[in-house]
Amino acid sequence: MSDEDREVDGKPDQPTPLRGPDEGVPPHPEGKRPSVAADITALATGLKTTLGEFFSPAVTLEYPEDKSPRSERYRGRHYLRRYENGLERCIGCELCAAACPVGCILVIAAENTDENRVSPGERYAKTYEINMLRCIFCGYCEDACPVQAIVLGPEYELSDTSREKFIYTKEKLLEPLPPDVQARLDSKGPK
Amino acid sequence: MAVATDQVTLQVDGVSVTVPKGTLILDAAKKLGIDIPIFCSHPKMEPVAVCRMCLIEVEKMPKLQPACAIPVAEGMVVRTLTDKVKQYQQGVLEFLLINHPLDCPICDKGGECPLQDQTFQYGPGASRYDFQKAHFDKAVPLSDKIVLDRERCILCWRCTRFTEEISGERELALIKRGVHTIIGTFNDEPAQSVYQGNWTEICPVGALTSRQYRFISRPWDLDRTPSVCPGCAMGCNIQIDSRHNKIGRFQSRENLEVDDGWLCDQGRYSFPYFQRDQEFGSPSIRRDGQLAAVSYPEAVAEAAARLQRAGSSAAGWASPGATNEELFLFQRLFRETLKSPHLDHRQQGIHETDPEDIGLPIADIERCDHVVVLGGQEVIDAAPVLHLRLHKSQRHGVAVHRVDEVKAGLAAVPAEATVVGVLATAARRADAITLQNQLVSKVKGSVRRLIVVRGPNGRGAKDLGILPHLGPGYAVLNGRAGRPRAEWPKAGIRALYIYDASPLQEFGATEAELDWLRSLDTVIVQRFKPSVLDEYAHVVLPGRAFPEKDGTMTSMEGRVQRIATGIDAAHVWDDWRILQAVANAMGAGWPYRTSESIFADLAKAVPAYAAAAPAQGRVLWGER
Amino acid sequence: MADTFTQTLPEGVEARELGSEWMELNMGPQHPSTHGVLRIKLKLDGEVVRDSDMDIGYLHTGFEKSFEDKTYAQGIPFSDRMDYLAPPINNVGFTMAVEKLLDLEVPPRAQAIRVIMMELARIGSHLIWLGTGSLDLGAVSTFLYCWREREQILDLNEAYSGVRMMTSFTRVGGVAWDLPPGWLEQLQRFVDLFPSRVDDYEALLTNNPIWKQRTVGLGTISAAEAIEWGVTGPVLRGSGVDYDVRKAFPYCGYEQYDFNVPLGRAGDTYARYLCRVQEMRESIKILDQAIRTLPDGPWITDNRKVALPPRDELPQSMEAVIHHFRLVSEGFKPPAGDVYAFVESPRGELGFYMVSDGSNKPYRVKVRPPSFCNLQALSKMIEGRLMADVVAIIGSIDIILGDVDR
Repeated sequence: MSDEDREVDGKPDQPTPLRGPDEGVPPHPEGKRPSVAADITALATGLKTTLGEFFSPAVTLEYPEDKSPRSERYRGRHYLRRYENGLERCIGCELCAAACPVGCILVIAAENTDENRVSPGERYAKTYEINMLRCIFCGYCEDACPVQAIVLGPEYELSDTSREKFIYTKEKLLEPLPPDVQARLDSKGPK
Repeated sequence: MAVATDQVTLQVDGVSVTVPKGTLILDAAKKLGIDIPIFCSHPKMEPVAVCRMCLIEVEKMPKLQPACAIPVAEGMVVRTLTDKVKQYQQGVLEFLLINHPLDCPICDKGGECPLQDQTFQYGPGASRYDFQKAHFDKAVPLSDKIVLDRERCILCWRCTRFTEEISGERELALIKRGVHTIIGTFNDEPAQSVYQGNWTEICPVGALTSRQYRFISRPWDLDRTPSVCPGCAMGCNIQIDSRHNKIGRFQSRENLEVDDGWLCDQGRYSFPYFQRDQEFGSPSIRRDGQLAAVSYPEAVAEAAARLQRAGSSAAGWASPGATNEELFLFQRLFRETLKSPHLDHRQQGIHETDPEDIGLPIADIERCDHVVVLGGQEVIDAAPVLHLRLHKSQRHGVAVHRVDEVKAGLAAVPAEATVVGVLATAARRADAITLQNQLVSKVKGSVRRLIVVRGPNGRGAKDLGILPHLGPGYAVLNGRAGRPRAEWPKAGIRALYIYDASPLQEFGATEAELDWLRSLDTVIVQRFKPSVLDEYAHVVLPGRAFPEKDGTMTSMEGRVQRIATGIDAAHVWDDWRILQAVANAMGAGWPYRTSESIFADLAKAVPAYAAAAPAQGRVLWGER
Repeated sequence: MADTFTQTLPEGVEARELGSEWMELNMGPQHPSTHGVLRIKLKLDGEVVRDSDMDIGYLHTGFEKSFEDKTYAQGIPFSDRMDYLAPPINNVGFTMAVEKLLDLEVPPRAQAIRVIMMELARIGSHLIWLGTGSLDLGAVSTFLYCWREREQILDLNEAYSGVRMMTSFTRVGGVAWDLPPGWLEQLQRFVDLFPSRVDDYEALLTNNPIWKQRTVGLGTISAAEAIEWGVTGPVLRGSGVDYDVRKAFPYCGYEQYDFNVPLGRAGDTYARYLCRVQEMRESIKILDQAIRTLPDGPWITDNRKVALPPRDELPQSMEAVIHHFRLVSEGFKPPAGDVYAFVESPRGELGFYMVSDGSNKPYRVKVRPPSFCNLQALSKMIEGRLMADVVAIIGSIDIILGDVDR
């Protein structure tokens, strides 16, 4: 950084000394050392702080019995939503798969027929799979979905016993949302 | 003629460009790398300027002009980037989008849609239209191949112009007026054309889409492999679009010399035949009357042992659907390893096979002044895309005579004709040669013929000597000729090797021949898909389907073109590898590891192919 | 005692003359105090480090290469994971590079939200550094207190972006979401509380004789040397060089905020400690101003060729549907060219050199990671020091191996 740049932004800044002139950075170790009394004072100050904490309430939670609440925007496990009439929202457009930076979504579309109507319109997702081991929970799929079919819910405890079980199939993703998430999404509007 | 009168110099966006007289502004700009958005304009069709997307400013002209329809003039000053042009482009797109349905997410065109492209690049970012959109019929089945969505149509007339200008069938038309205008067939009858697949490719929106490809894939998920259509001997260039190792569609890949950018429906929609949607069987050997699955080496050993026992009384039939490399090895297996001369690729009843003269290249049909199509529709059925070339030639003034008889063909061509072409199928090859000879003595110009051979590589099979009486490169066999396919049942054949790679499965045995097959000591069937012949086989050797192979094919005009592996089938042996294993089991000692190395040897054996490869040129037999 | 030890081994006295041999000692990559997977091959003369050799790459993720295969928008969640203790700053750095390619204006509200998120991240990162750094030297209570305060920052992250660490909150042209209701109040509570917490940490450490004995005069690097080694951030400022990207090349509107750049003098571990502690106080100053001056307005650009259209337009506007489809599936195509965008991360200058070939994906992204550059000076800092001090010195450089290896 040159002086020129400094002048460009108009206000020359004075770096503050950290503390008073003697306190800022202690002199070289070979110089004078603080007295023993000062050391004891310093240690006592620290002990006072810890002692104070001893009498203040605990901030920790006893997980998994107690859990802190997740925020409304939490990006956890995915859900596929349905319309009130039971039809799937997902139209199999594959935009979520295109938006996904890690390629963890697989969508294979098929055509709705009158006998087999899965979603409104012409197209539905015959296969919808998310590889939760790959997913980085960035929420791009939710942004990409033109019909708000896919949402990220508040669940974050996704451990399981085999890799296969982390391929979330359409059946699993279509499980009903937690009621509070459902209520929040419903309040967002009709579409 | 002075050069100056042929060339016109104009300015586009301040850059000078010199183009031939009659060039459209659009093409002059393209030459400079300046992109003018278009919908209705198509390089192979006459300009109509209906979409108004390409409006640009031309100095001294009061209004904006359509770049796709105005020819250049000397000293013209064109501006494509002015605010006025941008305003009009946005306006045109806004109007197009007013009634366009909100279908992108469910539309097959999404991702490769010119309407999306132009809107994203030139269009307004937000809509000002708050009202109800006009509604039309959606997902109308136009035929068993095409779905029409009338809401998505932007009335660019490309499809109607295709049926009028390119195929000449006039099947699609604009119906009604104004905002109610729709595209349709007469009386809503199903479309009959065999070129419907091209409509989906030229449609700049998702109005015309393919039923077979419906919702199969998004364009960004496709693996694209350049290849050659396996439908007929025409050799149209295709692109195999596959997803998850399954073919989604065949798309055209423009080769002006061959297909001019078009495909026929037979070829385009032939891919389900090659789809490996279930297991096509493992190598098997007949034991106690039943086919038992074995490994490749076992089946190969069994086949080799049986062939060796038969020796020179073994006969080999290879289909004209195999690649040149495979055919070359097949031919060597019989002629060199087994010392058997009984080789053929033909069905029964087609006998005459001489080397082709310097034939008539497909593209040169346009440069003839008279073309005789001997057999009329039968030629078109054998190579449908040929019709588009003939129609194009006709529009440019070539006289095309569709005749059934040699006599009529001779009468149709006047004596003053200078360049004459004769087209015929392989079945009428003799007639075509007769006609050619007669025409040569009648007209003062040159006469050339183009024979539509059977099978996508029928020409290659001939060139490489899958014939009883001629070796590779039409080499004369000096008394060592074998018997043709039709005579085999009476020729004392003991073992039969059928290599059927063709979609036509055209070994085509008659009832009487089935008894003959049953009586044979050995029938070896090498095929990619279960075949009726499996029932008679003692050894079945499953090979690869067309999109799973790589190698070269020779089209009917002698063009050697490369096909590439679009679908991975690593668990199945390559056909050439099976042939090599069989030969090596008999001590042949072939060292090939790739199809390229086979081609190198092939080119040594058949010098005409050395000249053709690798530049995809034509094989010429004229020197002979 | 470092001081006494160096006095017994005067300058110029070769270890060999004393008849001892150097021992090679492997430290890491699983050593807890390397804060990740760093391996150091130490050449020891007794307890004294004579030479060292850094071995990095255990956490190599290939993000730089991955960027080339992703659209510009898809690169943002990848940037989080490089310096995983300050993801928002990575997000902003990456996004700024793209915006520079596009020559795109970012609305003031988005700028302010970015500043808030970045300063929170800076405090959070410094808290981890302070907590683990002091834990390395045996101060367990500081560690617990730091974690407690960082938890509040993570809560703020979660309330805003939905994720506690990998926020991915920027979008090209702005930020992904507006602040949720009540968030600023939550932030204000933190801002009001936090300075007293910093006092607590200082009460525990700053004058603590044990802490000072383990830090003062250790890992010294002079201003000139620091510049030569390309060191940035608090390590550079601890040596007294006044260079902070936020002041030198202001971005995201940092010029509007009144804050100081703390400078040390001695260039030792203790100086770096003081710098960082003071930086936390300065960050709080910035946050306090940002809350008060947060402008209204859009939080993402209205350029529809770059930013996704608002969701409420999708059910009725064809233009919105097409732009949404294209941006999601293909992304925008910046003009060909190359840019360097850089921000002040808690560790120093974090730079993104981005080359566009005019396609929808970057042709090349080269990251200038502060941790990587600062780590290079470690050999210099630990030379002639006691084996036990290596731990304290690594801690004082504050490396993140995700940032080093990328």
